[in-house]
Amino acid sequence: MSMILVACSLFGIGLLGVLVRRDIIALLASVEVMLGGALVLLVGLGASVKHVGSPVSVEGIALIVIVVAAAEAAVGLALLVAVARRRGATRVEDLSEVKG
Amino acid sequence: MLQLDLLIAVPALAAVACAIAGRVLPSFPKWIALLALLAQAALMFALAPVGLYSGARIEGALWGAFGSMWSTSLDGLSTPLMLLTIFIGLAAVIVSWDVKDRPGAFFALLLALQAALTAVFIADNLVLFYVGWESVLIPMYFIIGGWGSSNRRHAATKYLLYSFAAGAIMLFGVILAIAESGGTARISEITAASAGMSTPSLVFWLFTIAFLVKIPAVPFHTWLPDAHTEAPTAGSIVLAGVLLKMGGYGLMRIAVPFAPSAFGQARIALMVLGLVGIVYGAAMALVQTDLKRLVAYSSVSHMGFVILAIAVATPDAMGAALVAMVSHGFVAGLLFLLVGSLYARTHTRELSRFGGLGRVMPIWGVAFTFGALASLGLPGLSGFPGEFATVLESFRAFGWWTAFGTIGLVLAAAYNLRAVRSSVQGPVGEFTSLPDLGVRETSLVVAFSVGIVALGIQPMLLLNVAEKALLSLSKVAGGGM
Amino acid sequence: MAALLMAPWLAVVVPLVLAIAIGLVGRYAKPIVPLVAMIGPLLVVALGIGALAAIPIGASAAAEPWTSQLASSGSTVWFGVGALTISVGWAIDTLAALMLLVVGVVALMVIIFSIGYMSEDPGKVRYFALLSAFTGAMTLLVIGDSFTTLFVGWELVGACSYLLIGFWYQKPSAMAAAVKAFLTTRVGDVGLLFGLAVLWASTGSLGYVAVMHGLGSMAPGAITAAAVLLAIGAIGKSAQFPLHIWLPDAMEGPTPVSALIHAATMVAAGVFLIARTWPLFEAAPAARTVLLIAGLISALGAALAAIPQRDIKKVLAYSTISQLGFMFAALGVGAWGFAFFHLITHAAFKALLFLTSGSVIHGSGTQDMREMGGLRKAMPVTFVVWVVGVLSLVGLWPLAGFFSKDAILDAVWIAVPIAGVLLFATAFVTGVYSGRATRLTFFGSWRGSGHAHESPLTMLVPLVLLAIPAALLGFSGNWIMTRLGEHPEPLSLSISGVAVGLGLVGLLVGWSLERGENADEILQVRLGRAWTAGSAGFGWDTVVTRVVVVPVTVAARVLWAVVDRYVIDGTVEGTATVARWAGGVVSRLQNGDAQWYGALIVAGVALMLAASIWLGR
Repeated sequence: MSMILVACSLFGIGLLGVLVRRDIIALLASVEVMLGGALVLLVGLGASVKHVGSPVSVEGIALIVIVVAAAEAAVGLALLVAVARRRGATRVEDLSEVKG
Repeated sequence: MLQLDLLIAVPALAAVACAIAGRVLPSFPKWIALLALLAQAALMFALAPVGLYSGARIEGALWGAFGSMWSTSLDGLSTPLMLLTIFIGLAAVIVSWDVKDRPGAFFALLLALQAALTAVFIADNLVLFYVGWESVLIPMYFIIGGWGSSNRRHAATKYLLYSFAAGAIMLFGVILAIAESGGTARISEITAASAGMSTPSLVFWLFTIAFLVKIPAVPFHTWLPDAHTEAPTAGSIVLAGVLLKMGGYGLMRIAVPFAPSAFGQARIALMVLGLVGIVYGAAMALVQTDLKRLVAYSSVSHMGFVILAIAVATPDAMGAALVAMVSHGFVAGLLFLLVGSLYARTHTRELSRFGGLGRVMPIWGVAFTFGALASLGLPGLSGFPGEFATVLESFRAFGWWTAFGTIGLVLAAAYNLRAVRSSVQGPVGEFTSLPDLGVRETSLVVAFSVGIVALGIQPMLLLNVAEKALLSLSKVAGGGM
Repeated sequence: MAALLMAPWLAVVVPLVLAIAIGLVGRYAKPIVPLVAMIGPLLVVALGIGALAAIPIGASAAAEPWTSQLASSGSTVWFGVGALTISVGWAIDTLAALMLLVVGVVALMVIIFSIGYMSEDPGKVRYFALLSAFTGAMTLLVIGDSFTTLFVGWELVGACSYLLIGFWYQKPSAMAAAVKAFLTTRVGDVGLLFGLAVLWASTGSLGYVAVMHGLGSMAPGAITAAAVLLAIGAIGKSAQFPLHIWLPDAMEGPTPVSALIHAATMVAAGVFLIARTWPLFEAAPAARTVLLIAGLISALGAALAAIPQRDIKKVLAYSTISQLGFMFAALGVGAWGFAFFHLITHAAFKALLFLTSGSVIHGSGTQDMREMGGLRKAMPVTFVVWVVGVLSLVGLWPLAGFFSKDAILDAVWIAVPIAGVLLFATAFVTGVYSGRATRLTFFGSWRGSGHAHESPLTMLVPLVLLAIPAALLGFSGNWIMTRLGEHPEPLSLSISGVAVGLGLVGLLVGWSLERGENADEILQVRLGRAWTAGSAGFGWDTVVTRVVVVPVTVAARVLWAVVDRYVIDGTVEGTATVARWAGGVVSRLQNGDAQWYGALIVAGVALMLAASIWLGR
């Protein structure tokens, strides 16, 4: 139970960060926190629920997700660097051309 | 008959040719447009041997897999309107002969409009009908928006949105009608199966609202004066000459035969709409200071007679509606041609600035007086037979209510004579010398006048063609007594 | 002429086609234009004579409403889908044939007269084209075999009248008069049209014979309604009270036009219509009462209004309304034969008077009688024919007016004595205005500027030719009545004596009105408002303007400014405005801030979760 609480807190903190932080790097970091929360939940629940004959291990899934997330973060940071070079800005409010 | 399908294909293909040819040589497109319309006319005349003009119904080829989307037919009801469309189309091309601004695009749009109108009038298929109906909007939108006068954007957008909203309502009607008649989209088959519809009133009104906007019936008319005032001359001629007829034709071809029982219940409402349109349009025309707006409101009044006649639904009344529609095509076409040519010379439409034009431009003056007399329903000219028969038949069906509409006849005289008095007659106003109508415009005026006089003296020319169709329509509608 | 009877429609088509031809190419052959315009009237006269010759005297009519056997008839379907059709055609009986003679002869005289009268006018080609067209249209009205044909002719003569009143179209007053004439008669025409609708609904036809045949099975209410509506049409066309206001103004047109259209033929069409459809009115006493009342008010009122006029043509215009009032009164008491007889004699003497006034105007250069005077010396021929015309109008034996007017007086007196008294009074007043106008114009001394001169021969010849029937036509009364199938009645000596006496006294009174130089001013002081009101037609014009014209215009303006622009178009444009506003509001959510979108997504997810929990309870 406490594990679910930890997972939800992590997710909530990350979400809050995503919504509130205006710096894009911090924003990406918050996304990673959210992802961490989700993984905690996945691993935690995987350990507590009995799987009968499941060929998949949750730890394996979690590892794959971490790898993908790392790759994704790399792409995100690369984009960020490109934007920063082009527009000299790393803040969200500077990137709001697409609006009604 | 393949000719029917060619009737649509020829202007459509010519429109593409125009658009391309305009880039090569600016004087090409008008010739292509003229030839395309003449080809359309030739196709229509080529149908004479198969009895089109003695009331036969002719079907176009069914296009294989497109059978559920593409089927065409011509009968006594659509033939007169088809001929009118070609005549008005020719007039629009000839009157635009001097267009210098993007001629390729202009004539391509005119031809696209022609193709769409043809599709509406010869469609035997709801899908094709609907496609044609909505396709009319687009070229007209660009003609008004691209070649109109000062406030054209607003007028064009208003026209497009208003008609499109009405068309969207009709789309529901199309889907419902197809669904209710077991999946066929052919108008003739739906008509034959009309007794089995479970919601005839819904079908009737979904279509009728769209038609009433197009005719236009009061209170759905306000797009018309705006569109007319801003449209270029050719646009006004086609708009008044043919586009408004789509509404009346739709009522007679689709709304009434699809749901005769609903029509029976709606007759009184249609009568009221017709009578109000007659009087209201005439009263509005009486107080306009803009000559083009005046003629536009007179259209509302004249088309009120068409609605009234359709509401009566006796054979004679249906004939009256058809004659009145064709007549209005001629008369309004002539008047818009004349007002347009005046605008081209003076760049104003304000009645108060004209005066004494009978002296300044004698041919224009005579032609405009003639047009005004035709518009007020002088016997011997085409406005008379339709309105005369409508009043007679409407009294037979609805009694003294008709008397309200006859106020419109007095007002029609008033606004037409007012227009003549403040433009043709009186002391010469601020325009003391203007070039009179040229050979091209004069010959168009003569062509219109011949049509007006011929239909006025001998409306049977038209009724003989349409008699069979009108009789069966009236029988379906259970009109009159 | 027999050949013409095979195709009488030629008398309609030829003048109309010639009118178009004159309009198109007349300006290249100005000298022959009047001759071409004469072809129509000549055809009409030939047709009238031919028809009269072809109809045996005494043979009874084939069917109602014909007055005799038909000299010629034919018909074709003009409009019709299915069983009910509207036909047009022609049928010439004695009534139509006599009317044709009136139309043809007067038109011919007027055209000859116009050669001189209009010689200086730059628009004379258009003028003769319109006269020719008018002849064709009037013939159509007369020879029609159905209400449809009549209505077509009826409207066409109205249009010709409009174009001819407004002949000098750059003159604002002429245009105002033309529009007024058309609109006022249009009100009557709508009544007529509706009368046709009633007949159509009841009998399913508009042919005279079929309608008269169907009268027997019609409801009495429908018959009355139809007849009253037809009477309204006739009242409008014949300028009877309350629709008479257009006729005095119509004098803005060229004087020969006034003679042809606004005295002899078109304004008499109302009388012709009722005579033509007499069986209908026979069956509708209420409609006859309408005719009688309209006729009496018009006869006396217009005669009184004629007294103080200064414009010689206005005197004649009011006189025409008054004389048509006689005819309507006769129709009202059922004496349609006498009414038609008076129509014929009136056509002769009133056309003569109008043309004479044209000659006077041509010779003196003015229409104001106070600027004339003493013209009997300068214009002797004109003077003599004027006297013939005026005495015929007043009704002195043996001139034409005497016979027809006395026949009417007789009939009305016997039927409705009080109406008879009013008509006797009118006969007296007729004398008054005639006497005054004659003295002002032809006696005393010349008060105008310049020199008055006698008119050229082309103008005098038609005057003299018209003076003959104006003088002698009365003796044909019995013959005309017999040809119409009516019984002529011997004139009552006492009635005639009183009428002639009243006319003579009236003449003397009218004569003595204009004694001195300032007679008018003295009269104005002495009679005060009565004189002023009379010269303004008793203010009926103003009443109509205030009660009808202004309210309609104001209502239309209000409807336009408030209903059309604000309510209806306001709704349409308002929809667009609302849509644009709503779009603006909603588009503010789309602010480009990714975090804002994220917050919305979170809020949305939370909302959905809450909803699913709430609903899933």
